[in-house]
Amino acid sequence: MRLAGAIFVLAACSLYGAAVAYRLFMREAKLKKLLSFINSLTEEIRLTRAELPEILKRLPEGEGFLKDGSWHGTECLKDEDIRVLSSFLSALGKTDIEGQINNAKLHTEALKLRLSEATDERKRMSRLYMSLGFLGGLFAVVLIL
Amino acid sequence: MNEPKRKGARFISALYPLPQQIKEKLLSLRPEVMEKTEEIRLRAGKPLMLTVGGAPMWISSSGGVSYLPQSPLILSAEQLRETFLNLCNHSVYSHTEEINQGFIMMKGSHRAGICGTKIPEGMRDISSINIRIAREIFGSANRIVERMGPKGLLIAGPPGSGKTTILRDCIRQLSTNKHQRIAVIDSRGEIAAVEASVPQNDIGENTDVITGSAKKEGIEMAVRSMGPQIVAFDEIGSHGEVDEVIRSLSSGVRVITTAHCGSRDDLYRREVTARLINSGVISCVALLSKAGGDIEIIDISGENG
Repeated sequence: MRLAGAIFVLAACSLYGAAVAYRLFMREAKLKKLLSFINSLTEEIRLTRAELPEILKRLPEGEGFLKDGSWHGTECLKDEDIRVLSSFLSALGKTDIEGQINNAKLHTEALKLRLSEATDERKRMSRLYMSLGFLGGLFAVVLIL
Repeated sequence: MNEPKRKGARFISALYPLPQQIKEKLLSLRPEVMEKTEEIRLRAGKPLMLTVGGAPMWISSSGGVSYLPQSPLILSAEQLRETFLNLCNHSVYSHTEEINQGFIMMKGSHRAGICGTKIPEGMRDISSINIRIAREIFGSANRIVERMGPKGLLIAGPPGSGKTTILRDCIRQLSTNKHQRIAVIDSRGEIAAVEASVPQNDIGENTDVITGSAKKEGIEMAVRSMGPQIVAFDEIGSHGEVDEVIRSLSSGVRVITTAHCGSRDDLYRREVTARLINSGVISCVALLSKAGGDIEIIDISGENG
């Protein structure tokens, strides 16, 4: 019984560590997707000048990213990432072509910085979180046994 | 052919860009008022106004309309901004050419005139919007079609006199009843209101539409490619367009167009209309006074020999 409990605690702690590390992977992947999305969106605006709803329907990620004017699937992002996205959204569609291109450029640069920070954090911290989870579990097992 | 619409349907179809609070107030109006409303005027920080049967009317903050501005419903700058963004479908960049000309075409062939601070890229700080409700009155051009001469037709009148409505009915009657092949140059999408390749207004069964093209290029394109007997377009305004009309007549094509004109004298005072009449390409002028008012039909074929 004790052994089973110990295995369960070890697995749970390791999983928790892995989940925290996974969020770092997810944040990096989401920022990459957002950058690619903003790039495609701006190109569509520049080349076709079609209205936003039409462009969003055409883009594969369009409807997933934007619904009712707000971003979805942003749970893995940090507050600062969301602030940059909200700022991008607040000017989206509200100016002429040049304004839209400048808006995209400005926020793409800011998102690139966020991405580089996310990549750095993922490299530094993901193994650490996984190890901490496992070692924390191991420590609890020692206490239980 | 389009079904006759229920009373006030056109008015209701023009409310989509308005903020919810304003829309609710306007939807509570009597159908008779809706039916007679020609314009919805929105100005930042000013009362919401309607033009009903040619007269200004105010919406009160408690709902209902009156001929006097008693406790009127005031429109905020934020509500005006929201209306503007809805008009552009939240894609201002997609409408810069229209904005530069001072209007935005709406769904259902309504037109929103806009005012603000003009800048080279368009317009900022929008200060007022005038939604002009498009109407489709079957039979409004009966007298004109009966008396139309062998050449072209000019429909002239002041703003809001119903030139486009009569032009649309002329096109419909000539196309369906007289089996004329007509090409419509619908540069602002106001005549036919084509959506997903289908005209939303009844413009007849023998009519082809070029939407979005400049009038001069559109006339040339239509004459070359569609072999029309009549070319129709709204608001002739430049000498280039008159030149193209004269050229098209030499290809055996008749022209129906409209022009802003306050009176009979104005026809000859305005360079473009005077040139059009003197060139001999039109044989008849329908002079409108106000929406639903008398139409004076002037036969000018004699004047030009």
